[in-house]
Amino acid sequence: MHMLGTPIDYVIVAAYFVGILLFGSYFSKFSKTTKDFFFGGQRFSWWLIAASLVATGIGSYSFIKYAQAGFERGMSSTLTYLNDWFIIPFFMFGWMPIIYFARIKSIPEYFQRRFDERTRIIATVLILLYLLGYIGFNFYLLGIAMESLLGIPIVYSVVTVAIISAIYVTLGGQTAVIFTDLIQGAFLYLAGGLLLYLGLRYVGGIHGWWQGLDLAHRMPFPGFNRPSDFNLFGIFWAEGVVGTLAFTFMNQGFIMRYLAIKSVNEGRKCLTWNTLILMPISAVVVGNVGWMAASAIAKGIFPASAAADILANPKHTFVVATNIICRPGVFGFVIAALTAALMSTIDTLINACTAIGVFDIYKAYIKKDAADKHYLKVARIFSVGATILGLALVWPFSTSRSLFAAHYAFVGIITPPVVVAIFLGILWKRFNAKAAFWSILIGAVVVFSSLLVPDMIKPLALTHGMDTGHDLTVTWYTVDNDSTPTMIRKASVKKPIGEPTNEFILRYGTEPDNYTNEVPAYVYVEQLAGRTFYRYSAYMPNLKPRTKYAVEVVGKEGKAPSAAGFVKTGGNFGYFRALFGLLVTLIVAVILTLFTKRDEKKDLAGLTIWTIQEGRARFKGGKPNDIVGKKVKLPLKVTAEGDDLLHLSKDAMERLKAEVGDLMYIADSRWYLGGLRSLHIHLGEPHKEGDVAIISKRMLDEGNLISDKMIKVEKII
Amino acid sequence: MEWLKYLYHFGMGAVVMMLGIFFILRSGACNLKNKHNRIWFFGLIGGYIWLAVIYALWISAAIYG
Repeated sequence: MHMLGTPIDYVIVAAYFVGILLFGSYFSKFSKTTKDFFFGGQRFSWWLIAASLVATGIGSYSFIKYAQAGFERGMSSTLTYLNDWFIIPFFMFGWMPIIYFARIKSIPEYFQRRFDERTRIIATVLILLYLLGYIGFNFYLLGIAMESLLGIPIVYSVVTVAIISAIYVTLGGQTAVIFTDLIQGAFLYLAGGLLLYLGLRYVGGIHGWWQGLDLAHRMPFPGFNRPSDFNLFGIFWAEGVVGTLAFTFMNQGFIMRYLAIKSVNEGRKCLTWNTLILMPISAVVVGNVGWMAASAIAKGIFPASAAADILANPKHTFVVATNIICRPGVFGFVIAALTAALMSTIDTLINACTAIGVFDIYKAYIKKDAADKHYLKVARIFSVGATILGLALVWPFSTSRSLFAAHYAFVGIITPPVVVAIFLGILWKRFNAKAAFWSILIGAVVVFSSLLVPDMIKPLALTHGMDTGHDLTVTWYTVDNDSTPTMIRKASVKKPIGEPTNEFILRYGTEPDNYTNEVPAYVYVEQLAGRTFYRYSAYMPNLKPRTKYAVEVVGKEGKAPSAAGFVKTGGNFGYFRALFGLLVTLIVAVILTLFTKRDEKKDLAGLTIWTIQEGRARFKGGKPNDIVGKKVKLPLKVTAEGDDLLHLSKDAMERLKAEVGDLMYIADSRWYLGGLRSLHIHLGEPHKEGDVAIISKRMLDEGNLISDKMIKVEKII
Repeated sequence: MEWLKYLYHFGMGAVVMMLGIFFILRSGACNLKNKHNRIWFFGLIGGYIWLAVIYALWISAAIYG
């Protein structure tokens, strides 16, 4: 082990904080309107948004959570990062173009336009509660991580990060969020890459690492339906289908990021790159410490005390393994990466919360027709308010486990009904306001009821053979000639593996001092990297579902009885709750729609996938021009007076395949700005002044363009 | 057994994707006459194949590597 938390580590973290604060604050000059503040002026390139989404997608607790999953489940821990693609057609050609072309600013606004006012109100309340809770939840998780890694009290780390995030989000809005998240994403990858490199070096390179993993740890999939808290059926349906629908359809922060892109086509590039390339890399970044620990422990190269700690408490995997493989300095990067993971999630949530506060509360009900500058001022005040509210939630989260669980439960309750309302809203024109409102309420009540009576989900869960909680297999290990059991926990199989043995028996009961039952043990011997692992297991039948049992391993014939603990039976069908909620709400919504009148007078142009083309025409203000032309690089000429249109030569228009009235995009030709200096502008009549793009001074300022720089022109629609 | 899991994952995944593709084509949200739409439509299929190939190689490496 190395001495960590040294002055050099703290210097790196402090420098990182100062750097992010200054960098983020720099973008305040680019937030001149609410469109800038919330959507970055809708002007950015796909790669910038994709890179910033990396940091947003990795939360403060991801390193700790996925290191544990990587250690326990091996490479299958990546599955939650890799199964989003199946849902993407709905987002790529459905939800994304709808919100983009309809110029929707928030999810509740979609509810207002697609359904009615009361559906908007219910959506506003639910989503706002979800977002605020999520801010507090993330703050709290960072505090825990810092406390376990550096021994810093929760309040110090949380307040520091909150102040930094609030300053740059309040000043720079979405533009600051996007650019700081670009840096934070790079930092996360750098720290993850360093951990990967050091981890691989520690276990003897790629070959040494791979050879140290058993087959189950190498595989990309967990068991079909075991263990109950991590299995293929559950992950596919709950995370891959319902979870991805929830993340892509009702995550205000995620949606705002796509609204900041310069065009739907660029949005599709971003989505593809992010889902197929960056998310798999993120899975490696957050999970690799666990994979290395699993290999190192199997090979016997971890210090015995560290191995025992991880085996007994897999939650400690990240902290213990990082302590072993890190060097001073690198550790500073890891701490900075953890805070980067938080800041990049928090800044997005603050901005998302503020958007709903401004558009769906303040502008909708308090002051309807004020100037944009007024709303910008309000947005900055709300931004600070959202941070303070999120911060205030840290204290109750830290003192009440039940509140923590309640937030999880709340998210689980509201997600399926809200997702179904959006999903049917975009797919089914007949789905009406009454059906949307009541299906959200009824769906939420039914999902809530399933928390109180989990057996409601049982019929659905049984179709996939899920754990009913009536039996359990407990496993423990001894290594080499050591007779002390090193671990006692639930097993991933229903029946014990191996041969009967009389070395141990397992005693259990509902009270620790009153073991009412005992069962024989089975042993399975495994050779790994020159070490002998004895895996014992015992089968406990006829148990009560969702019940905590005290268990004790008792050694016979000289074996030491040193392992005892608690196990809890399954039967809460957590994974299938999301699918259950989705199906129930879907059925309720369909029935209500069929038995209520259509919303005949509703203007659905651009609000469903069946009316997207009308939405495109409205977005442009004319018939879309879909002929694909080239991008053109031109010098810029600025006129002091003039219209708010772009004027090009006939030749340039021909190369662009553009016509008068088309919506164009002009940007500073320096690619690395990612569209920071750019503008959407309609095309005016051609000029005869040669190969030059002419715009007015007002448009130049609006796009933050520089007059003596070359610009790149492209046709958007 | 691992290949069975692979078939389940990508089989059910294909069903979910086909449902999405059915809706976007039927509604005209994805218009294959539009060049950009065509590119992204085949991108969707390509993405599925990309993931399926990665997983196939991964399982092979786990079993035989």
